[in-house]
Amino acid sequence: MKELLAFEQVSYHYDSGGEREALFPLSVRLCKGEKIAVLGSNGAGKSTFFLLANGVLSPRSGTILLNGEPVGKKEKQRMQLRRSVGLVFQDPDVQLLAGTVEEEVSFGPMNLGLPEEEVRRRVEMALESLGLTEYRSRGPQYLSGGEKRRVAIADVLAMEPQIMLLDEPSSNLDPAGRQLLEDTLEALHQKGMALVVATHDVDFAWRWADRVLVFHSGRLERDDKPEAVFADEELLSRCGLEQPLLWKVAKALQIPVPKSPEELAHYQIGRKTE
Amino acid sequence: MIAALLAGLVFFSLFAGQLPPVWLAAVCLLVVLLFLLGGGHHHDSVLTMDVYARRSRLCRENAAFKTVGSLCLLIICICSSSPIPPLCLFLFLSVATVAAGGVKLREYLSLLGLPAVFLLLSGLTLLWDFYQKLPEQAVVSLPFFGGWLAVVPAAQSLAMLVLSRALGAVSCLYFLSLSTPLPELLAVLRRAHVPAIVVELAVLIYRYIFILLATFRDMKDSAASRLGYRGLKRSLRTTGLVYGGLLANSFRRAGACFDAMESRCYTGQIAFLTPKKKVTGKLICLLGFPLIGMLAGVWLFF
Repeated sequence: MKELLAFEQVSYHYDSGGEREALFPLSVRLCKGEKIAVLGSNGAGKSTFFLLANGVLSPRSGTILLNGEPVGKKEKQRMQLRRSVGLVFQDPDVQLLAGTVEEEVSFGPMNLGLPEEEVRRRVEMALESLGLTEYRSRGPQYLSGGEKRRVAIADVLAMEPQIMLLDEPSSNLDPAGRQLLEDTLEALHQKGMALVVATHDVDFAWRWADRVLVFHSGRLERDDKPEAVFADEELLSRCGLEQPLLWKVAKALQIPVPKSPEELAHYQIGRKTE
Repeated sequence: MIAALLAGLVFFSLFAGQLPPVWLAAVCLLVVLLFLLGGGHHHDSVLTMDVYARRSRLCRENAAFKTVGSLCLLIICICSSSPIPPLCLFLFLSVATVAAGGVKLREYLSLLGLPAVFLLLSGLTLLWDFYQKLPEQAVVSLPFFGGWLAVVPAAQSLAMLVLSRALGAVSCLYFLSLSTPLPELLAVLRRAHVPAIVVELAVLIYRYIFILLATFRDMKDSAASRLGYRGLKRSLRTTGLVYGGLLANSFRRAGACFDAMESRCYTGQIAFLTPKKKVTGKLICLLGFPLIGMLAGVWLFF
């Protein structure tokens, strides 16, 4: 797989001090087309990791490599990072700033200095892929939580990044909104985009991800396949996580862990009879 | 209620001596009734205007054309030396806003109530004046601390002119702002080479007004749910706390918003793609007709 982004011994701490949300030397590489879930309790360093990967923060030590090239501290090089790595913020209200959805989505591409035709094409593409074409002249203040989230994703999609980072995209969504989000993620994956999703939802991580990063107190504790991560109960309890529901079910029934609830039908489950 | 009484008083002073007493009484009563019926319900009007503008049927028309047209009408209206053309303009644009734009009549009247109080108050000061001796032409007069408060015909015609101009101007601005959402208006300003800093600030203010209001409402509700507004002393304290919290909240959010803008390659200039809207025949008629009419009217009454 082609390597897109690599962290080499990258560390960061905030000037205001405190261990919270700081990041200790971290090495990780992200490749094309991957589906990565980032797990960890609040303040484990997930958001800092995202801001570094996106180039909003620059590392105190260590190097970030984009497509094999080291990214320096100059504004222009960080701009390259922001162009290739898109970040969807946790709170859409922080991200949305224009008066209409269409203007909002065009903000990123306009900043890239693209010709108007190209901006228009990208905006159309992004609105189309997230089913927002009917909302184009609405104001963000008149949208629901799920719709705002879709606009926030369209914002980043219009910049056509190689990697998209999503910070807890399913928080504050109702079940229907969550399903729609998962469909969207699947569609983006089909396009070949690398996706990194920070989440507290272990069930989602098990269902969706093909790689899991576990953060705890600013350290990357584990970088492995979901099967290996969720089998390590000691790690989970140390990092304030838990096993997915399907794992608990499988354990209780003493069967191999299924990927989806439907797979349970394959197993002969002994029923208690009176 | 106060606005209705004020309106009655202003109309009485405006037409006293010019209409027979029966007619005068009828006009005043009608005005009071209109105000009582129209100005009944109030909402946070700045935001309702935004909703009406987005819902308006004229929202689909070219924003630049609407802006330039309304501004021209506004200027001609103010230049008029007779009250008749501005009043005609007021009627025409009100009908246009309500009928062509699809704003409900009741909503339009309730919005007019907003500037009406200011207009009526200034009308009152224009009409009534203090005199040492009672002027001969006075149509209405009251003894007042050894002198007289009186209305003279000259003041009546001046007040009539000022009020009608103001009314015409308000209708121009309402026509524009009830058919053009603010983001489009800002795009027009940008194209008209208004300094970028002004337009960008306006963009951000417009967006964050809604967030600030929502946050304020949440904080106030949560304070109220914990009985924070029981008694005057506690209410004052809670209000202070809520405003303080709002300030702290705004600072924190400003930092986060800046990060979010930077993450999308913000380099110090906010630019958006603006939708292209054609100038339609309907709009040309809607603005061209009153423009010609006003020019002719002002010329005729000059």
